[in-house]
Amino acid sequence: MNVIEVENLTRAFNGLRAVDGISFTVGEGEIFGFLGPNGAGKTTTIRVLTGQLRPTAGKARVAGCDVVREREELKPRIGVVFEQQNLYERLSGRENLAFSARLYGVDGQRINEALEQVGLRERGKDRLQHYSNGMKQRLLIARALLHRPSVLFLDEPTRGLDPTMAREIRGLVADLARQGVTIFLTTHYMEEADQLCSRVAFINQGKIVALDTPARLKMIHGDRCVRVMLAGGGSLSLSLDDATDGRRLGELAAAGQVLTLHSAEATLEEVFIRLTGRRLVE
Amino acid sequence: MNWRIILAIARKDIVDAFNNRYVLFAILMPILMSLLFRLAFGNVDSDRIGRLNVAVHDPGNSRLVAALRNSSDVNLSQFGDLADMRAAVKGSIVGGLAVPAGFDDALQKGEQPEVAVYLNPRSGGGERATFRLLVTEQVWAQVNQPFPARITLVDAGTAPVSGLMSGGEFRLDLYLLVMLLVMALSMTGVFAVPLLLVEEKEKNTLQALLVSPAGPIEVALGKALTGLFYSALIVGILAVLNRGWVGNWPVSALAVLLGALFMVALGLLMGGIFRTTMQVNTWSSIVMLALLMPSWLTVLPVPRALETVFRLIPSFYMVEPLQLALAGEASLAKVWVNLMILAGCVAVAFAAVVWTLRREDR
Repeated sequence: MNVIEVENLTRAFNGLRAVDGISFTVGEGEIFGFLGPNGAGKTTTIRVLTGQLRPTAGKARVAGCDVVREREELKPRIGVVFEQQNLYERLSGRENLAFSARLYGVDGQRINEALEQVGLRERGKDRLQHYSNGMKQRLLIARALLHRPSVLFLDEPTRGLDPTMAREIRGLVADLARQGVTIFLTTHYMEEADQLCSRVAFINQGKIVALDTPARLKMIHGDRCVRVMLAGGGSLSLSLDDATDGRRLGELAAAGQVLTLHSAEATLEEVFIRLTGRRLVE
Repeated sequence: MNWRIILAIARKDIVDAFNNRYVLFAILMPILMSLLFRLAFGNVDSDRIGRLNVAVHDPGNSRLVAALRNSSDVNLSQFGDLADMRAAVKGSIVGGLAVPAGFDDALQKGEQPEVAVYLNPRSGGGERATFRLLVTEQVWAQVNQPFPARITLVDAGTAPVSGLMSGGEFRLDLYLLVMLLVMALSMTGVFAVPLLLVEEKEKNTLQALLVSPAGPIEVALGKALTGLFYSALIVGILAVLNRGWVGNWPVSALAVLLGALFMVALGLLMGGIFRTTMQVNTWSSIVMLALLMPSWLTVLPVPRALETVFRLIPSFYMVEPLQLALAGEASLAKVWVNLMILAGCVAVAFAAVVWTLRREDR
């Protein structure tokens, strides 16, 4: 069952199309990666899908609601983790969640559960001024999960975090997907998308240029080749699609010249560059 | 419109504001000003200021000084030498009185003997005004006449322009209260309220609010409720500090309520337009100054043209009924036009807020 359905969605600002006729669907419990460089249209897409912006043209349904006509019904069904850490800094973590709980009419007990879920139970009473970036990011996720949404939008959730904290956040996202939450993730980090997402869409200048599983994208748009480390020193890159290279690999192996053999498939980053001619972080 | 959400926003802001130095400043400023005025102008919280310390030089043992001695409002210190008396007018002594010998006889003959009144420049304005008034009253009493007139300044064809000057007595305490109330309401309304909104924009928390079940109307009403809560709190404190329940207090309360609503609506409008705290800081001071101006009418001689300009400022329609009500001279029937104009301004301001929010929404 599709939880997100987008059809020819366009959003223009002063005649300039930030999102230009995109279409895609996201299934229940899927982690869908939406990848592109700054200004590609990722955040605008999220803003339209979460009801913050009206589309200029096209249609979108999220969690069974039309994002324009059923915006009020949509709000309790989605959770959003914004790119900016937009929390109330003068309040404690618990007070931030208590405020959200009142907005959604959620039971106070749920605050403890949400804090527990993101590992902040012990620090709930501290003011946010004493939180690290990673803790704030986890609190943002707790806030977005408080009312048990069926779709979670994550806009660059690991940006600016140290590798350990980023890994923790990725673990949390994977857990949520296992619990059946559909996740729409935008990120600059291709490795993150590769690791987490069941499918990814590349967006460039408002258009989707590719959409598939990370493995298929790498296979279709990358080179099938192996890197051979030779016993006598040095290395070779041999294509699996070239008959001559295939014979050469067999001869080297027979002669005991192969020390190690590595797969050398393209990364998502390389696929993106190949498709758009741009890097993700410019 | 969802009241659970409106109350949740107001509750969050009320708690958060206690940690917000800008909002705290807006709340505390009028209260600090009130305390400062009390220090500067002495004990100005009643019709009669407490006992005045007065130095006298009265070589003829006049009836005037005898009458003052019998007054419960005065502590007299007698000096045989004029220079000593003049030197004594300092510290807690509000002023000195030099009554020439033969004063009583001259008065009986219908002459106009000279009484020199020396004022201590360091005394409070209220104390000095009361001292002058007391001397004038007692001099009239010596010629067996009551204080000659109740002076009410009347603008031809309209209601009295200033209730606080009635009875020939300048009610400094009530003038200051009117000014402080206007200041308090404008600080809360057009400074604190827009700050609450603009801060949500600057920190992107407004974006999070608007993807929650809260809509722009709930956000605006939540902020309005916060503004009204703080307005009520400060007005209450100022009323207690300045005995503001004198006169026709229900009319005063109505004028203050309408004034608070207007200023909060104006603040919401500013919060909707401005994007940064810096913009609010700059424009709020200008708007506050404009809103405060009508309260100056009480004491400053204002040219008619300027008074006409003041009538274009909505706070004028709060100030005038408030002044009259505090002086006990305003019934609802007397000031209803003012209050209706103010209510109209409130309606227009709220309509503008709703229009702005709907236009900005998506």
